[in-house]
Amino acid sequence: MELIGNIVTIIGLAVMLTGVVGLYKFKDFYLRLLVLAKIDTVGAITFMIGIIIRHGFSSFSLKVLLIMVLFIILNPLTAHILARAAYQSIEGITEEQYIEGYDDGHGGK
Amino acid sequence: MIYVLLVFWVTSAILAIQARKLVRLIVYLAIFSTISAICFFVLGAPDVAMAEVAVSSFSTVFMIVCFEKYFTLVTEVTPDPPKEKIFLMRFRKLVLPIAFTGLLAVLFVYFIPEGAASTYLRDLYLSRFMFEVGGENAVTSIYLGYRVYDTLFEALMLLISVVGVAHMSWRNESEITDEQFAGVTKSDAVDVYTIRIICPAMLIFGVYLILNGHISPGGGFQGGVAVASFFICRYLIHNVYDVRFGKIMIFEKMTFAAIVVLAAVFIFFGFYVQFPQFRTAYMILMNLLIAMKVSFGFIIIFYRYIAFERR
Repeated sequence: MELIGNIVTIIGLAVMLTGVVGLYKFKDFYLRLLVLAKIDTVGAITFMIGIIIRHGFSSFSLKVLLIMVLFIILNPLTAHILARAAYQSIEGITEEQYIEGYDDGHGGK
Repeated sequence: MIYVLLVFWVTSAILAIQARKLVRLIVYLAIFSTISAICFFVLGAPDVAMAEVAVSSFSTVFMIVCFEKYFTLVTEVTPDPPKEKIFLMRFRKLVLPIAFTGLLAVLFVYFIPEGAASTYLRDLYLSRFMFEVGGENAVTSIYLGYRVYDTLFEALMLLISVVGVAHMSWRNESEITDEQFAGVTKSDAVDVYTIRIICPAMLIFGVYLILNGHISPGGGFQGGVAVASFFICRYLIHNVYDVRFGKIMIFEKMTFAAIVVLAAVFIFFGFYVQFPQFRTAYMILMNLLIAMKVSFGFIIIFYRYIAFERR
């Protein structure tokens, strides 16, 4: 059980590592945001699943599960808010990033 | 050894006050905080020394950047000096700071006391806090019992920063009206539905932190921030501005006064020793008041930035 848990934890850490490399590699804001969301959701959730498998069925893993639920709810929300705010700020978008029919925050659709 | 350091300390402080140029003032301030960090370390408080070093280095860099930006705006660019002068300037810019840093490093190594720092106070607090202050959380009994002065001044610091945010903003109004608020962008459907799921949990967590501060980790400051985040979530859901600004500021000041009065009555008049059965009540009440103050302050700062400090 402990071995499986360790392997899953290491997979989560590897995902986080690729995400960090991507943060330095990409220069565009939206690509960076994509990578950031990957670190926050995929990496962290895999990491926590590994910890739960390691510790088995206990009150500790229940707490970790609660944190995981919060992560699943909140991290996509933060990524969404960041992307939307960047889209709505005036210098945020280029011609090809413009989305037809999406609220730009200045009254135009 | 400590007396030599203290003499340097006072000298650098006087030099910083007497400096005519802003750059010199910044440099003297940096020297001052470095020496004070060394003093903290020598006196056996390495954690405070680390905090001092971090804060002072950050603030020095920040002030120098601000200074440069400000003065490039004001004055014109000076022409390039001749070659010999460039060498001299490089000497002054490069060699002198390195020499100064090396000197400080030598001082630091020389003044390190023998052995580890003393743990006398920590042992004292940990062995006696249950009888003397009560409560099962040592941190709470320290900041509400032994170090209540620190707590008062920390609350005062937050109050001053809130007053600063409220009074030194770009616009000079004291109340936010609906037409100022009209330009603020509204929340998305995704935001609203997700935050609706989360925000009751936030409120419950904040209240739990406040009311259990004397038993488990937590306390007034953290719980106050959690409760304030609940109010921020409320704004994000409804997108309405219905906060009476001046009233909240008055409430904040009143809660600060209540904190001061409560701490003074309980700690300084010696009620703590006379009535040990009220200690838990004192802790809960104090945590509650601190949490109210902190959450009022953060609500003020948040709404201020939402309504005024935007393009």
